[in-house]
Amino acid sequence: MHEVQPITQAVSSTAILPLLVFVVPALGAVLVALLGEATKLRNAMVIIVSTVTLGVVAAMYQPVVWGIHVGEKLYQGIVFDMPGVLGVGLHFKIDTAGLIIATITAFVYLLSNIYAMSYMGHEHAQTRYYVFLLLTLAANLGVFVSGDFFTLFVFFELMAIASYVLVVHGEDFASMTAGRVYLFMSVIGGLVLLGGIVMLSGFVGSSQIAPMAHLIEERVPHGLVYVIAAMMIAGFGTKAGLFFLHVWLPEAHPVAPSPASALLSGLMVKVGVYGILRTAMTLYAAPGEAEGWTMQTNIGYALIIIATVTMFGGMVNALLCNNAKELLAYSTISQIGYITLGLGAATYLGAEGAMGVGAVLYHLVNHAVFKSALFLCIGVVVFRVAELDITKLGGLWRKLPVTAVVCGLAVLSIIGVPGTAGFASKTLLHHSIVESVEHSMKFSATHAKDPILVIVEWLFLFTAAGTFCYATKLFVNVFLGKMPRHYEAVESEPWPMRIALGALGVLIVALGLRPNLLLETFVGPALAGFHLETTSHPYELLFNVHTLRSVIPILYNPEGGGIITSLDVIHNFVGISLPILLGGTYFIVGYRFRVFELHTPELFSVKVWYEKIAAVFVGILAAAGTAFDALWNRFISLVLVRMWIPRRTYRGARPSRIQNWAAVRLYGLCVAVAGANTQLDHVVSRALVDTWLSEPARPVASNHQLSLTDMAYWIADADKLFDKAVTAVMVDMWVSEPGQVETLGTPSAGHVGAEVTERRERRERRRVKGYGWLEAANDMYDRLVSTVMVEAWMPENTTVQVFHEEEEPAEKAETAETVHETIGPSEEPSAEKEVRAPHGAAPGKGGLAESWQLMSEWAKGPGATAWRVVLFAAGTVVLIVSLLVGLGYLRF
Amino acid sequence: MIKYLPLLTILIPLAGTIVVWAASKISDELADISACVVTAVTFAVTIAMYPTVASGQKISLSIATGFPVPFSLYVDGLGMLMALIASGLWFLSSLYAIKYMEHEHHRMRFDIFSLFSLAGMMGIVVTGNMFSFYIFFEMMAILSYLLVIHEETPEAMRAGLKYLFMGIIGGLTVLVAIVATYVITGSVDLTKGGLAGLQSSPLFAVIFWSYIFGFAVKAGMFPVHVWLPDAHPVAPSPASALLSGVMIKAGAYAIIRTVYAIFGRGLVDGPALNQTLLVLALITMMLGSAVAITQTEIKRLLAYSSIAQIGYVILGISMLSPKGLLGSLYHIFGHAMMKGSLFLAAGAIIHMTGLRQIEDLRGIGKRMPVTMVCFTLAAFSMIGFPPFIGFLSKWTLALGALDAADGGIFAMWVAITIISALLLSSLLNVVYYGPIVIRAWFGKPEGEGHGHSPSKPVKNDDPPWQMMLPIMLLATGTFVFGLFPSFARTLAEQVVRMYF
Repeated sequence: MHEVQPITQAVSSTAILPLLVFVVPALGAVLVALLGEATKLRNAMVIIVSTVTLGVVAAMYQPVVWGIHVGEKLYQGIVFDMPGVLGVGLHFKIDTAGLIIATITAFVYLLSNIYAMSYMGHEHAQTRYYVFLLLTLAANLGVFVSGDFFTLFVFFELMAIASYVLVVHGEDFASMTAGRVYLFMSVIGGLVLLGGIVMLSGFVGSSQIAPMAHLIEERVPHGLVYVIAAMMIAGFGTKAGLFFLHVWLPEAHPVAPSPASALLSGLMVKVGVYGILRTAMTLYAAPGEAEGWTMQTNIGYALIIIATVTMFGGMVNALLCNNAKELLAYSTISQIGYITLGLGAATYLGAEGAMGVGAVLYHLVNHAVFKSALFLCIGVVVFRVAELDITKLGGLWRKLPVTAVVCGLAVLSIIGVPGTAGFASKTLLHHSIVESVEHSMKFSATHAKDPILVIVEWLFLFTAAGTFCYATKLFVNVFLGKMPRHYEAVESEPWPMRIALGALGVLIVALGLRPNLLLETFVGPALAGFHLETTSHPYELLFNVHTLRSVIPILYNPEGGGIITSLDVIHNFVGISLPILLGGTYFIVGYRFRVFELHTPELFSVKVWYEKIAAVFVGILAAAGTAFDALWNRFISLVLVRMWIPRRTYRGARPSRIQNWAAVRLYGLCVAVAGANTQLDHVVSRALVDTWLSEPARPVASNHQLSLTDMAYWIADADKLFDKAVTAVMVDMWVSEPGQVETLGTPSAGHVGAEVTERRERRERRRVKGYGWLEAANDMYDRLVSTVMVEAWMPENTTVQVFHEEEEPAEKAETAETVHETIGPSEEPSAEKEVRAPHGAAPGKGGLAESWQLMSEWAKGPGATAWRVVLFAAGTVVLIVSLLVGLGYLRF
Repeated sequence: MIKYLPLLTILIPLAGTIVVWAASKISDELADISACVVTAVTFAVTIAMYPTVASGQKISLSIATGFPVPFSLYVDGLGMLMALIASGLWFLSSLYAIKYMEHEHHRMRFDIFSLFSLAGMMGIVVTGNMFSFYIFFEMMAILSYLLVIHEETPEAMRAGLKYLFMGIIGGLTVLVAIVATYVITGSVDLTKGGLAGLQSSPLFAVIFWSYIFGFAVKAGMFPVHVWLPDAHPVAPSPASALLSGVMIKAGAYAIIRTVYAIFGRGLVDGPALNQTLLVLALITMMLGSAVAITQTEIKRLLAYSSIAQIGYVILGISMLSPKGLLGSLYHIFGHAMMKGSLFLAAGAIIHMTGLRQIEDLRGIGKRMPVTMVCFTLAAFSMIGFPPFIGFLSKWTLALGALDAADGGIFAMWVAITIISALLLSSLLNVVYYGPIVIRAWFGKPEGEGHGHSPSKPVKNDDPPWQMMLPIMLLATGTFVFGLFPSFARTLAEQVVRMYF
């Protein structure tokens, strides 16, 4: 294929179509929401919007598949960019592969809406249903027109959210539970996918849906190449319902209203398949690389194995189901396994995977048609008889003829009976597996067939047999056999349902009669978008269409000659006859021995394990996080907040045990420190002060119960004293007015006046008791300095007087009631007086002489005089030395 | 003229307090309205600066240049972004408060201190050096205390004390760090990409952590987040929206300035600095989400969610990569809207129905449809669904992690861990926002059985428009700015260009 330019906005206005594809239904949803209660108008609007959407999709057929000519040049495919939107820019691109799925999607949505007109007629919250259905449609189509994985992810997530509302429509316990599983699995799948896309864009620099295998190999760190692929496939696989990721599907699909189930099962899972297709066949493709391109081979091999498990497991589960919708849900899983198997085979073959891609696209369309038909048929049954257990149904073909016919056709198609569309696509799928097996010989050193792939081929046949079995089981149990008596009064289907079912039935027949139609109009052109080797055998084989054309004519097309001429054809027939025979045997055996009523033990249910793991994980995380946070919160609060706040301020806090423990220790520590401090205080006071006072030692304040608050008061007191000292030295000393200096003294009761509160008194008491000595020392120092520096030079009786004022003991109202248990014995007042006694002893005299006298008096006081003098001198020396050292330190 | 606008953004709310005081003499309602008008004017002035800053210029103004460190105002892209968020959300929340505070006591006090806090917040983001910054930082920290304790209930008082003390301790460490920076480098300018001289100081790691400690307290980062889940829920809802939406961003803003303007990313790059910060951010992110899961009260849940979200912001800052910083800025911008909307919506529910427990919110969507639509949108944004702005920031952060690994800031496995953490955190967001939203829309209120109930008319409890409008605007913003982020992007990319 030559490089054909895509249509851009500059080329043609049709470039806007990819945008319209999701804008139309989204706007339609808004309109429907606005119409709301006007039921008829709203219903009409729903149909109109879905029709217009289908029209928009159909309008893209010409430009996308065959291209348009502008001037001389041929343009094919559409590209539309919205730079800057969402920060990264949205890119839209549509090619034939996307268009196939978009077309069938828009078509089935329309049929489902027609069907819903009667089905939803008696439901609650109809407007909500339609609004979210149209939003789902918008997102669903958006996925197929996305040009890069980023844009794709946006729509992918929107679809998950919008369809959640459809799943939980019933709002009962079952649907809410299923909805929860659906939501969480979708979200987890979406996040895993996002992780893959982020890494892809981060390393490669773009998330374009284009072959980037070489760039990936070059730029992505070695270990992460497959991690990205695995994350993306797992993310998409969750939506597709691949095994181990499928658990939401049999939960969610049955609980939704039937028209929504049809969409969920028939179309939305395809979004996942489409994503895997783009990842495996486009992103990891390396055009120009020879076959056996390792990355794709490995990915394909893994996909084949997963797909086989999915296909087989889904079939087995479907066999054991008696709930019709659940059976169909498991059948969807199995069919997705088929599709993914073809996809795996295609990826395994890389550039030669034409057969696989063709098969995938073909079966994708087929499955969309017959699975939605089946769900809609079962929906009719539910609508009319409200019973899902197939063992309780039977003989309904008499009451619901159209449904029975369409259901029968769909069943034939899902089995793959020759003459139906299912036969064509299953044959193609089978071919692609066979080709993988053959290619595996080339890849192996010994030219042996890969044993696993051989097993896969066998399992494919067994699954086909099982499919026959469960499909027959469903049809026979519901529509054939004896009809329970109480269904006599059942009415036949309403017209909207007939129209929808009829259209699907016609489509099934048409696709079956003209299998090449789809191949030539859609699937063939789509292959051009996949960078396949056009000269390879599978490609030619597919286009030869020999496979199909030569089989089908036997039944109804005289053109083909009517005789089986090719070995391939025999193979095809054997391929389908064997399963049918086998399936028939299964069915009879199973029916006779009631195998179908068995139930797998819960132990084997993946979902139960998931739930356990999720509960444990979230539980541990949340519980551990909360416990840790609570502890940490308390610890930090204690250290940063409570420690600084007096307890009573923090009233109301109910301390926990751990907090008490910490608090006790912390407070204990504080008390110890405070105690040590008091002791030190005594020692120092005794050594430096008391000895000079020739008075009995001051009472020792013992058993102080300390708190940090007390310490704070002390600091405040110390500050006040310091303030006083500095004021005295720097201010008062130079001022001679008594009035000003008055404040120097301990505030008298009158001075403080009404301000004296209980707290203040306590503090004052404590201050006096603890620091009286300091004050006294200060006074002495003050007097000394005043004497030497001021009074000696001044006339008498001017300044000394000021110190007498403080002798008023009134403020020490040491009443019984204020004697706190924390305060020392009551000798306090006397001690205080004694401390202050020396000051009062020298009234009225100033001058140097008087000071000298004062000093002499001290020196001569009772006790060992010489000792005092020595100590005084030593104190002075220490003071001076420390001053010098201090200054020196400051200087250097 | 334009260069005086930053000053105006501070002076208007300050002057506005007088207006509010005067208005309160007439009626409390008028006080609320005038406060709203003042914030609107502030917002308008801020917007007036946008064209200049968006075009790449920077507004700067120095006052008191005689001092060694002048009082300087400086608005670049980062300051502009923050100023817009702050004044915008303040305006909306004041509008909301008119009705919300209707039956409250002390409305004038609330209005005045709200304006004071606004002045502090605007000051924080429009100042050009750390000393000027510090004044406003402390101003906001202390004055917003009154907003926290507004209800004056015992738990409000207790939470308030926590808020106050931790704020002050944080402020002090910041002060120490600022002084140390000034002594070492002789400058505390925020206008450069790293101050010369810091790297030669052996103390620079200590200084760095002093800054971070102080700012982390404000931002609500682990390990000093403990005040946040107490203080945010007890405040009246408009104040909660501001506390969670704007004020914790002051801490994040300051951390950006510390990392990129004071230290410079070259110096911060190392195991002791940015990598430790990164680990703390990751812990913050996971812890906030994990604890939010177990919360039963809606506002407390939102508060824990804020902790988790601030983890994202700091994660992006500590990556030291352009995309990481861009993601942080997006998230600062986006989270203001989402959390603002969520808190206001939660407030509306509490105001109209009195319900606070998540368990009781079953079927609230039918009673308050518009409110819950907004709540749902904002919650989606929080979870990070596209096309909401929360998705944009997470996407950018994840790319930033890969960028940083590419640039050698840390190993590839760290980047992968970060991405996994981002994804896991999104999942946890679903785990705790999901039940609220699902209960609100599909749950049946107590007393009603399961199954289909005939649609009977339900009383519409949506709040009056003054409350509804801010919620709606913010919720709309989460996806409008998600789809078209160029408004924030212009500024954010300017910041990235400035520092890289």
